[in-house]
Amino acid sequence: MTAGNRDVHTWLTERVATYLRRSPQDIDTSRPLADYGLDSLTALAITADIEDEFEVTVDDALTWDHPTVDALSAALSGLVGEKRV
Amino acid sequence: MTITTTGLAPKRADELEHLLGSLADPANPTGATAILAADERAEMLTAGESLLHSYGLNAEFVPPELGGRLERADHLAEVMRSLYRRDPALGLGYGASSLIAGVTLWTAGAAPQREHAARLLLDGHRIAIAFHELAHGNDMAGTEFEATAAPDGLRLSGRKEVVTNIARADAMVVLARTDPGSGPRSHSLVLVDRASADPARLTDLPRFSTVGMRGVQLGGLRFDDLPVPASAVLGPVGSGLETALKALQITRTVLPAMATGILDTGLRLTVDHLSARRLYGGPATALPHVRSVLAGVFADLLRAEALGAVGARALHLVPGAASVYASAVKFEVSRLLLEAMDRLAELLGAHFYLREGPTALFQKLLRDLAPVGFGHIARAACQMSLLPQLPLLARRTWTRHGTAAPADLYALAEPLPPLPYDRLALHAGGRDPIAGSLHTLLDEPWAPEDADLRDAVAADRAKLAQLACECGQLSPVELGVGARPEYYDLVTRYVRLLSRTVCVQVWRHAEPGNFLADPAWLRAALHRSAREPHRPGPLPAQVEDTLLTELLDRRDTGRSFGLTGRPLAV
Repeated sequence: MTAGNRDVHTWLTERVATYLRRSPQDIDTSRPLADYGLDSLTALAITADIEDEFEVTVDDALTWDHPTVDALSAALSGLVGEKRV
Repeated sequence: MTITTTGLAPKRADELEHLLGSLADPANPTGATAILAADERAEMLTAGESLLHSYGLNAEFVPPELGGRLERADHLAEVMRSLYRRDPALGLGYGASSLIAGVTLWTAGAAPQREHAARLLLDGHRIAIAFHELAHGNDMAGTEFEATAAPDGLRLSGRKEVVTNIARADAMVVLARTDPGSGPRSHSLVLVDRASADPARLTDLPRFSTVGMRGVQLGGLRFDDLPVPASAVLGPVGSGLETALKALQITRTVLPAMATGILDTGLRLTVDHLSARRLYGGPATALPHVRSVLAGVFADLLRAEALGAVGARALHLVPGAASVYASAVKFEVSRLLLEAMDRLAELLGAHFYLREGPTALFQKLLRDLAPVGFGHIARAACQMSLLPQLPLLARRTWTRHGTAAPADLYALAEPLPPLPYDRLALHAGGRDPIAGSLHTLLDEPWAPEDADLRDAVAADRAKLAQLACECGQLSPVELGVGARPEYYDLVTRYVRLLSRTVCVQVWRHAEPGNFLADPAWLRAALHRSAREPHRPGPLPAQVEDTLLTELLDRRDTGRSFGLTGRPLAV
């Protein structure tokens, strides 16, 4: 799977849904990941997924400062967009 | 910048050892007799504290650019072993608690905060680390102690409990909740200067008494709306847990490494006792069972120190991976020490139980060692912090060739760059150059007589691949605090492979002529850490003979039993 033209928000939602073994429609992207069981330590794994998927380097505390899919997408859009151009 | 200090131990470690003097001399104010008397009174060894004050021990905890001697984490551990070898209560109660506070300051403090803290320590004062609340244990995020915003700064309210030296510290680093929310950005570290704090708003709680480390002054403090300036916060508001998780990687590594000094003396007391003892018509040390246990404990001490040393060097050389290695060191070194002291106790029999006579120090050391398994962070909490990292480690390192670690990671005498506090990370992002080196080790040259060792490495590599298979399928959601108990065994299996690889690498990088270059200790280390349904059996006869010969020679020449084998003031 490559980023291609896929939206960061969609990709993140799918990624989180995979972790939770749920379908993406069941994820409320405005709710903190911790509400779904991705606590402060387990959520850190998402940063590595982001790095692998979008070939960027992100701050290790990214998910702490942006604890929802919505917030993460917003934080990443600039970074990922720049990389893709 | 590379620091020029080379060698397994700095010269000043010998100076401190000499100053502390002979443990066995009853007239020595810092010898075993005085240490035991202070322990019976549940007091700190006053003569020891004065000696360390004159020596300026606190400088060991202060970075060089701030006037201290904290150049190398591995050397720090070796210097502190001189204390743990005699009186662990001095090690923790005079030293380590200020070190823990120190690393949070060096990691997150602004220049004026760092300079203030360095000055306090260099002047011989103490800084307490006030994280603990009895109700929450290792659950730092559960901290209730509050710092609420006020027009001129913050107001601190709540209780901190079972905190070393809190009643006699001049300053303290307090973990406080700055946001009522549950997330990881809800806490901050606050540097509280006790001298300038309003005493009417601080109430010391009664001292907590303990089974071991009885002299250590464990206290508590109640804060009633204590005003502190906004400038007292370390780093940005909300960064408290992040700073703690990063900075304490240093102390989670070096504290267990220091505690190997306890086993060093435990082993010496046991060998001394058994050498003098005649049982069944011969010296006790001639009994095959006794010889086997002593050689096994010696091997365990060596591998504990090897893991501690490489973990400490990793802080300098691969700081991004230290979140994994620090938890692994704490988890494994503490286990090795606790189990080895228990086996020595079995050998000593009634003599480990006596609070008098030539082996009396053993029962104190046994009690003082216990906190290595739960103090600062508990072993199970180390497993819990490693668990969510396993799938990434599997994906990014265990299944493929990754970035190799610099060879100096394992060449223990080589100099190190300064501690990069700003490059410690919350997680390793799957980077694990030590276990990853199993991929390349097999391709390196191996002497024909070491074929058995190469076979062991090949088997470990296959085990790492198997572990990667199992861990790679797990979702991080399954690996949080609610992780199933059987997953904890994955951590145990990983740490076993990691520490075995460390031993192989230390042996390969040892200086020719050094005992560490002799494959006997490595064979023993690998044998002792083999995965068996029961305990590993006795060592192969030739390996046991080599280890016992070395052990007894070090005993006779007054040298330490750990990696350095350096002269002691026994």
